[in-house]
Amino acid sequence: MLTVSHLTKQIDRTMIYENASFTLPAGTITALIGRNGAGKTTLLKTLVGALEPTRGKVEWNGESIHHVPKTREHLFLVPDSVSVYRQMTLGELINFYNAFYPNFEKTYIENYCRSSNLDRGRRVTSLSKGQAQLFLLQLAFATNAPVLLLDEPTDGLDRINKRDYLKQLVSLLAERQTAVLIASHQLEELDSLADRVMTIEKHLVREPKALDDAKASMQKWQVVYEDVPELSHADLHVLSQTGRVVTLLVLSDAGAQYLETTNPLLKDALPVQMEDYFLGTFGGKRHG
Amino acid sequence: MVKQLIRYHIKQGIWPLACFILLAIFSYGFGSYTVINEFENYEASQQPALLNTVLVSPFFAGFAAILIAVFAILMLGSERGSGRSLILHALPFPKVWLFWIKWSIGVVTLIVFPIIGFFVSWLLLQAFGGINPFDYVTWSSLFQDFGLFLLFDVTILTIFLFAGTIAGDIIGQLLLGTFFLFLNYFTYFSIYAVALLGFGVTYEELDKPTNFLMTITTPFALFFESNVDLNLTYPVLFCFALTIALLFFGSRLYIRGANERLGRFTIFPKLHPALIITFSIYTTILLAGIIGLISSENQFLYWLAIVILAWPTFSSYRRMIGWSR
Repeated sequence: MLTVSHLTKQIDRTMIYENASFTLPAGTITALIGRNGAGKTTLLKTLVGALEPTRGKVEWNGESIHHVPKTREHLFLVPDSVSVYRQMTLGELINFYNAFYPNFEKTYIENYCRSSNLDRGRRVTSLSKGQAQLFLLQLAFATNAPVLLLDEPTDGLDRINKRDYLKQLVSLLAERQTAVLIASHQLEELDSLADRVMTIEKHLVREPKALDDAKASMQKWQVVYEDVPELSHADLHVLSQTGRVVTLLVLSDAGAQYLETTNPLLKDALPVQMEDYFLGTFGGKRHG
Repeated sequence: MVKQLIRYHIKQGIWPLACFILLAIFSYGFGSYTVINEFENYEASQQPALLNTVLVSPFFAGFAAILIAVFAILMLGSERGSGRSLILHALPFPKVWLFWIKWSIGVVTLIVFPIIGFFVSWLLLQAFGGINPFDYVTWSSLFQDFGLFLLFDVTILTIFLFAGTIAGDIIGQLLLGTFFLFLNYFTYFSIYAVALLGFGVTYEELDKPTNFLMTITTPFALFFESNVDLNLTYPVLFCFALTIALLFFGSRLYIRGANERLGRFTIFPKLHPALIITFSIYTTILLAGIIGLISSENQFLYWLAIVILAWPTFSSYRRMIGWSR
């Protein structure tokens, strides 16, 4: 199991993230969410060993990812862009990773190329964004690495490619006990995919929560007022307002009590989505 | 695993490596033909030296130095600039392997091409010119030239690779590598500029204490002095020691390289102030030296040029490199 303890990264005296402590148990999908520039990609690169942490450690079964190179064969990072594989053909990329991952399933990825009509002699950068991302996902599965780190995997994909991507991810995860950490802004997808959610907020990496628990930590209401009052409470986040109908998020009991004091005519509970959780976590304080 | 890494690196540096083939054809193939045609026109005393330069080509060694520097820049500066090192450093093997693979490919290239070239030249001379080179040259003279040229090229490869372990991109590696390679000349001319133009010291007074900068502390001594009957022991020792030292520090710096700073002039921002100051001092002194020479070695004008040039030079470097980023 991958264990991360007090991981901190500082670049040029700027704190990127600090005190990340969590584990990635087998068979779980953890969503990593945060604002742009929050440090998600940097965290993934540190986890995989490409960046050195300022403090803290990343361990695979007690051995440091950064100090014991062999442990890195248990992790695979799917980058957000294929430009790093510039000049490499699909066949070369397959042979390349085959040499480094002892459980690499070459037949599996070759079958995938055949079934998707992908010529092994084609350059990775000549594939469309969707084809490239699907290929990299399959390549990641072919490595049989028990931990997969996906950085914005569906960013820029059209609906059909996105659906295919998620379908493949889910079906393959059902077969294997892989731990997956996905950094993404595609909250709708994460909602249907993730078991747990982890946030980076103001450089602090919060411990992962079960998605249901995370959503249960806030309430979403649609309320109707005779006259919409000035809703100003730190734990109340207005999502939208149409006439006298206001949709809002309540982030605490204090917020719920405040809402009662505003005397709404009607109050209807709505299910909290991942997007609401994101807004509640990262944008909720703006109305304070 | 190593085989894949070698293949990967060869692909990244394919252009300079392919140019080595062309260079070898020009140096050894065409060189042999020229000698076959002209051989009888040379005096008997010149023939051994001529054959020596065909079998171990200085033309090849000279241009190989440029190609191997380009190769080193593609191996490190380009890798860092494009972010490929992030992927390589996440793979399950010690990072230091990458440094040694880059250096080894360069060294093997520098050994293999001249050896093939030697046999091809020998064959051409023998088959088409009816010249048996070993009637004129000895193995020892060939080995000596081969060794000197190899050390010359390997030193340049190592200097540029070392520069690459500090640099964050192609530009940084190119400038640092060039600076390190010509540091002896820059220092020599700077001393002369300040002493001759600034303080009126005579050339004779300076010659002896500074001569070593031109004859010992440079790989170029091996290249240019190899056909002159000079004692090359000290330049050989210097280049050997420099190569070992740069490999030692380079391999350590490579694994300590901070990937988050890729794309910047260097990946060690703490070095930036020292680099800016050093570059500024050398540039100011040398530019002022040119002005001093133009102004008939006028001492006052030299110091005035120093004062005028110092700030623009410093601020240009500060802008280009960045004081603390």
